[in-house]
Amino acid sequence: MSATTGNLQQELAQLAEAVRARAVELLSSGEVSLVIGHQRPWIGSEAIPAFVKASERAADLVVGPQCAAVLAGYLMDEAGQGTKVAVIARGCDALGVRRLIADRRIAEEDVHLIGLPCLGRIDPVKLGAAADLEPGETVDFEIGSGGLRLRRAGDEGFTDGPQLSEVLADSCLVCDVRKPEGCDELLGEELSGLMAAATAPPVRTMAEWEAEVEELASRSPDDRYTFWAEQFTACIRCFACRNGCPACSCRVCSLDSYQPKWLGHPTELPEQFMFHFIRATDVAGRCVACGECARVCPANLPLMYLNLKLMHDIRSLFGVDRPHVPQEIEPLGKFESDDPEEFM
Amino acid sequence: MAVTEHKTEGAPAVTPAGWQPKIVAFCCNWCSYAGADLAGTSRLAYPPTVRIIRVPCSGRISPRFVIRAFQRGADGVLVAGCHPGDCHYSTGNYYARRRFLLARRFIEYLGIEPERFWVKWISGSEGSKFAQVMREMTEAVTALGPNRKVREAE
Repeated sequence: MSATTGNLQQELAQLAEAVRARAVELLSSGEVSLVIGHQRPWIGSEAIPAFVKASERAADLVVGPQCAAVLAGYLMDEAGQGTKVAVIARGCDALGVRRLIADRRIAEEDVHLIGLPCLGRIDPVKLGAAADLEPGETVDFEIGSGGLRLRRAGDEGFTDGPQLSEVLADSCLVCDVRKPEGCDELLGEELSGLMAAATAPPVRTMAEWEAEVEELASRSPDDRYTFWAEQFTACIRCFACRNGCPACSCRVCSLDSYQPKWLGHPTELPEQFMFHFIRATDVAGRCVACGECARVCPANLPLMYLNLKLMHDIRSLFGVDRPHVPQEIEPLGKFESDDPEEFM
Repeated sequence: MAVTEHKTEGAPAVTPAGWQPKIVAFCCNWCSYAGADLAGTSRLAYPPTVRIIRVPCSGRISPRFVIRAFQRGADGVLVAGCHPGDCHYSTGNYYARRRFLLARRFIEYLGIEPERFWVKWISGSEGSKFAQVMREMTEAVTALGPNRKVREAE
């Protein structure tokens, strides 16, 4: 391992140690009653959410690109119980928590955000393709000198794999909050390699990602409809995109209501359009671009193409510079008397 | 493939002779509904394609209403409200303007032809504008033929 990137793996281990130590401190002092973070999975290589209530369990906490879920949504159940909850927060987790606070779902004083520098999250679909994995095959990885180093089941040691940027989730490629904003504390500031990686410019700009949306928008109406019809046909309406979303946080959801009944037979295409239309437009102006909806989708639908289109239009129509960052009043909750006028 | 079958399920594949579109117009009570009323009392001719749904304010209209109208057989949808500055509730139409600036682009993005979904400011004194919009819209939607997208089977 070379000095620079070899350090990243080491620094991640140091960061994990710092996280565990901090969790022990907060739990044993009684400052918080729960720490939400990630832990090693029972199967597969993606780290899963961890709910640590006792300091001796803090040793389970892990950090790194294998950490999958955006944790903010869990606060809907866990915050507001009379004691504080700490969240091990990457930039997207922090944005999601601020989203919930801005939407008055949870109170700021009920949460303690422990910020971390982040390298991004590995998208298992991309990793599977880049490393030529069999469906369902899992792989251990570490961050080596020339990118990821992989160890398949049965392998002795690690061998060179793809670059990290080749296998990061789409939303991580454009992320501008890998050094999280608005946290109560920030760990890992002394870890120069990680901080440098977290404050470097994103792999690509939001505008480059939105160009894919623009390409789709430039096709004919029939082509666009066919594109979305093919996508939505695969939707099994599991509601994971709604349930995982930090912006989609109504305790009583209009999609669950019987009167009026917005959704009917699950697999009919008109209903699928209605579902995805409602899901996307109801978080318009409040989406934090964490990509959790797309991550949790079992049909791997490009749900961020819906959110991105809305974000792109909000930026261009209303001059909102970073539409994914929660504001006191959201773009659709206010107006200017000189907004663009197309309806005269 | 299933997708294409679906596209034609809710409406005839070939436009029948003499076919007329169904247009759903969401009109705010204070301006556009009064405008439609004025068009009637002034005996202005406009095509009998429109079905008006009266709502308290254009700010009451959720974009999902538009999709629901298409689902249930509309060939075109109009959202009409008071001119900016004239809202009975002062600001409802300003919120609606932001919402439908986005929604129009989004509905278009999902593949519905932009000619099928209109938003217009029509005041209570603009009976002739209401009639004019209905004529223009009927013409545009007739040219497209029956809407098959997101439409439920009958």
